[in-house]
Amino acid sequence: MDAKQTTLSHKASSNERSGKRSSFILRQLVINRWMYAMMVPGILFFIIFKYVPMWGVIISFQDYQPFLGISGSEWVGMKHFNRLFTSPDFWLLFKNTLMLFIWDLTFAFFTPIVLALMLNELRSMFLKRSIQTIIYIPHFMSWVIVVSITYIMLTTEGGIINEAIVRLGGEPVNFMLSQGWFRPLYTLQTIWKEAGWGTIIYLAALAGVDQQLYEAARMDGASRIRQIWHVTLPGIRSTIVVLLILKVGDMLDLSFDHVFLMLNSMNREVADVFDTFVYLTGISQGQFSYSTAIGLFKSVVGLIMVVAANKLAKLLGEEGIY
Amino acid sequence: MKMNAKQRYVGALTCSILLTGSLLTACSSSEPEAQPAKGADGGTAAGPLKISMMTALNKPEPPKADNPLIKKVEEVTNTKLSINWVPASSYADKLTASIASSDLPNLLVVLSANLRNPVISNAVNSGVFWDLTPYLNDYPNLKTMNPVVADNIKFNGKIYGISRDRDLSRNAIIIRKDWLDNLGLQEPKTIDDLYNVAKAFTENDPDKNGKKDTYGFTDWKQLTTFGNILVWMGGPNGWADNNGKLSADYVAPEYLDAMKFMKKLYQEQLINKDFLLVDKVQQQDNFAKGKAGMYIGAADDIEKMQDNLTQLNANAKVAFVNRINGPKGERAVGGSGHEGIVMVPKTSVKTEADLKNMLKFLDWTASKDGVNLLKWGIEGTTYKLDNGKAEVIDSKKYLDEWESYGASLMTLRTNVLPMMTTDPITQRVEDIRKDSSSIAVSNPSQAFDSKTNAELGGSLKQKIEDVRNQFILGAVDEAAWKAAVDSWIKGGGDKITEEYNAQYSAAKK
Amino acid sequence: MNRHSLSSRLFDGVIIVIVSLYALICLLPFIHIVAGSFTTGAELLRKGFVLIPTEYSLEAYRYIFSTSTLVRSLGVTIYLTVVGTVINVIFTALLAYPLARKDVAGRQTILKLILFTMLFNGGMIPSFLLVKQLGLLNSLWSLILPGLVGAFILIILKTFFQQLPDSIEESAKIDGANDLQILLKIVLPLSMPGIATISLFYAVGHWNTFMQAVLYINNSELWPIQVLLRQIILMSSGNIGDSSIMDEGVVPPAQTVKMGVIVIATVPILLVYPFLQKHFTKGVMLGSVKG
Repeated sequence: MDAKQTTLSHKASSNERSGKRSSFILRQLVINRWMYAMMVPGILFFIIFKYVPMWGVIISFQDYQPFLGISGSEWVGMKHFNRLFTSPDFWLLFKNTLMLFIWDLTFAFFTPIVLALMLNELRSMFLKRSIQTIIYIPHFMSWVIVVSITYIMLTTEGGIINEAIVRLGGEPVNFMLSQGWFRPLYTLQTIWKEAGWGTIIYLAALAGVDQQLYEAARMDGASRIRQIWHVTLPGIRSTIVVLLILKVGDMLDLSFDHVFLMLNSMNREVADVFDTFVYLTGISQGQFSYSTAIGLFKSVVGLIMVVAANKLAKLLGEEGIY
Repeated sequence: MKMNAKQRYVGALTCSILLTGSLLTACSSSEPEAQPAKGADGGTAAGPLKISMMTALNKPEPPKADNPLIKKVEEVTNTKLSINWVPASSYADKLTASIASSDLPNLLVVLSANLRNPVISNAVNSGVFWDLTPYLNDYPNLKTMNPVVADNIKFNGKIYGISRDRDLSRNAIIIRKDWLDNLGLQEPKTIDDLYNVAKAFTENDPDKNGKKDTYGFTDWKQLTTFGNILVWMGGPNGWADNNGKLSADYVAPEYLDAMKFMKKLYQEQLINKDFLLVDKVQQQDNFAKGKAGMYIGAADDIEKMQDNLTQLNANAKVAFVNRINGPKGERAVGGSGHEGIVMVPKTSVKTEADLKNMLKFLDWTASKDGVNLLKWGIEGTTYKLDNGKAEVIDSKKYLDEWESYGASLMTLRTNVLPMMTTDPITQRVEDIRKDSSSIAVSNPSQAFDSKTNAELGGSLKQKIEDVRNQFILGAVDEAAWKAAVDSWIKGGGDKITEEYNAQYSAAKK
Repeated sequence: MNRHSLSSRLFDGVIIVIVSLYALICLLPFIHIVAGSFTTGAELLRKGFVLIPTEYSLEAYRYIFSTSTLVRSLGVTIYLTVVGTVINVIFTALLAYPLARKDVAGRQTILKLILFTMLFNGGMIPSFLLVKQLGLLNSLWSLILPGLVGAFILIILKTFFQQLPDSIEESAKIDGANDLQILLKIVLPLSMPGIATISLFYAVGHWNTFMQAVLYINNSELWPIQVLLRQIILMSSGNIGDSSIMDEGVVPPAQTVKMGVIVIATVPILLVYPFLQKHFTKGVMLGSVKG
């Protein structure tokens, strides 16, 4: 079964081929019957539990009230979207969200890869396994704990870091109330919490790299670093690409808990994002429609980004998600 | 491996379908939550009245099936209670889901935080709940609802639920008496006293350990200290009647005065400098650790700090100051007087007869017998009467099996027995409840709905309070504050004021 | 084995130092929490950041285990995690494998549709109504079925399946095996790292189940552990964003109890990973291609 037939099946659309097409489909179903049978439960799941409830996005075009339901609530068209786009805060929120995403992508995305590569190089199995287990502990700490620990370390009232600074002769720095420190702090926290967890996928991918390729590289006299560059990295390239595409789709999505806990009166200008904005004007006031509209906006942007990223990946010769 | 390919295919396909099918049948095999028979008769001839209820859980775990309190309640009222205890932290979501799916119990508790949520007010306007106003006078206990509280819980001038009473105010300053003694100071009585005491606590080494490691106030990110000082200075609690019309605290002159006071505290380091980052527990820890000498909050917060305080500071003694004299006399920050209301949904309580059964039960919870059973337990077993006061017999059992659950079921507290205690601190806290409530200044806007407030109120408040905080920390000046107030007014504050006043003047007639 | 050249050893050394430092940073706060759970509240306040408690006390754990609820909800969670993960892995693998094969017509469309669900969803209310209509309320199935196949996890597994060379399947087909047999007997054993990974993801997901349980399950006997544990922790600091003075009569548990709760909520699931680690070994592929 070659790729050509598959491509053909997508392009065949003209009337004269419709007859051929239906028999083609039938033939496919029979040839690959096992494959299609295997997919049935999963597909049913997505239809029932993902597509059926999707009617919920409609409420962003209504003034939805839970008791009245969809049929009883008033239709308002683009009212909520207009409210969002004309809000004076819109561009600020967009910028803040985007900036956090860029910081995240630049630093937090690659840390797990580097970590995984380093772990992969460890010779001692014991060291490798124990460190692997340790670095994924932070993933289980909730953001409440992470921010609480951050506070203990960074507060001007006896925090460890500031005590050290004072002892070295400096002035205490108000890290958590400062605008300039917000993005670096946020990113460092994200790395601490999630990098270890992120290595899991890469380590699994690394396990699939053919050992013989290493042998060959060593025969050629490659140093450790060269081996990583020429054997290891290419081996996990498709994993990296897929995760990158998925990450891009999350561009406007941030962890609400995380931002909310770090947000305060002094850093609001750089820290306020769509999710925290929605919290104030949305759920806590029962404004379902507005918050759903914002969610829909984020989803659409994410969709555009994923499609673009996937196309780009394919242009560069990679597998992509679909 | 040469089997009949077709047979194997059919077999596997069947397996796949069966697998999916078995999971789907799991759907129908579990029964939906059995709703107790709604509105059975008054519980005399045909057995006990079944009542289903949803309320917030404030303990780690709900009562066990054989909990003596619940059993006693059922026995005395001839009911069968089916209570859904929902974790308090997720109550709003559960409430929304229940309303959206019309999956409502006979009695629904709506917490004060959810009360003015549009989900509820729209449900009320759509006729989801019974209007109880015409019935209340028929019930001896229900009609004793405190009119101030009743105003706070009304929707469109009508009462849709029975209030779960709380003290109007429990506010006080908890202060280190030993520090005052060490420095030869009196308990503060005025705003100036507060400043002087805070200064002395910071500068004059009140714990006599030779180090300058203490300060005056410990505050947290909600700025309770500010809120109290504002009211003591004569300022509003949220909103106030200003020449017959309601106006917001932001525009009152006392607001800026209180801000300047806080700024002074901050600049002179008489308050913890990181209060904007601090949560309630950390605020209390600052006091318990012996770093701060004054804690402003609920008087009963001492319960949370006492143990640590005495363990870490052997000489610590506390006193309570709940009356500070200001330009408008002695005032205390007042709450709404309730922690939610109990509403009766029409979907599960269908006829008027059923409603009356529910009201009868609710009336019992407010009666002398009922409220005291819920509050104190069984006379002779968990408490004994001492001169008209209740004294708890087994405090561990009381805390474990009774206290929180009973509190969740209580409604009006007009008939509750006062507490008997020999511990001076506990007695003082009890006295403060009464005392602070008598001088409580509440927020009149709680009685009203404002559409603009629901839409924009949250973000407007956040913006203006950010500038307030920046002012206190010295990052912006007075001009910036005035600009922020203008923005608040123009951005929607004026509409909110209008909307409240429309209802305010209508209510006054 | 290779010759360990000097530069290679230096390389090793640098790696070990960096990785160990990083592990230490990850570990310290957790040690603080574990230490804090074994000490008294006063000591915690006094010292702030504790690594080795000088006052040893079990008061936190005594409080936590004083109720049978904890043990029961641990049981519920374990059951949910084990059963749920097995079901998840089966259904995910069944769907991921065909999507990884290039010759399956329509797979691109299906993948696009699945990806779409990652970006768009209807929200809490429609999901709640669906679960209610399916009669799943108050049953543990309400915690398993709605999350049966995670789109992200599915895509990851599909990517792993795609790494396998076609030659393996082709030679199996020549031997007369059908697709299902190929999946079960050949692909899965070779994909153990991937299977181990997604099992871990699903297991952790089940272990952390909280919001769904609150919404869908009224019967407190069926509460998974996170509901109980969060109730204990959040009672004191209030909801994120909660602004009201705490209701009277609510005495929040001590800081030490909170820490004990975190330890109990975390340690069991931490122990799962070491068991799965043996599947992350290299060279599983060796030998099979040649055979």
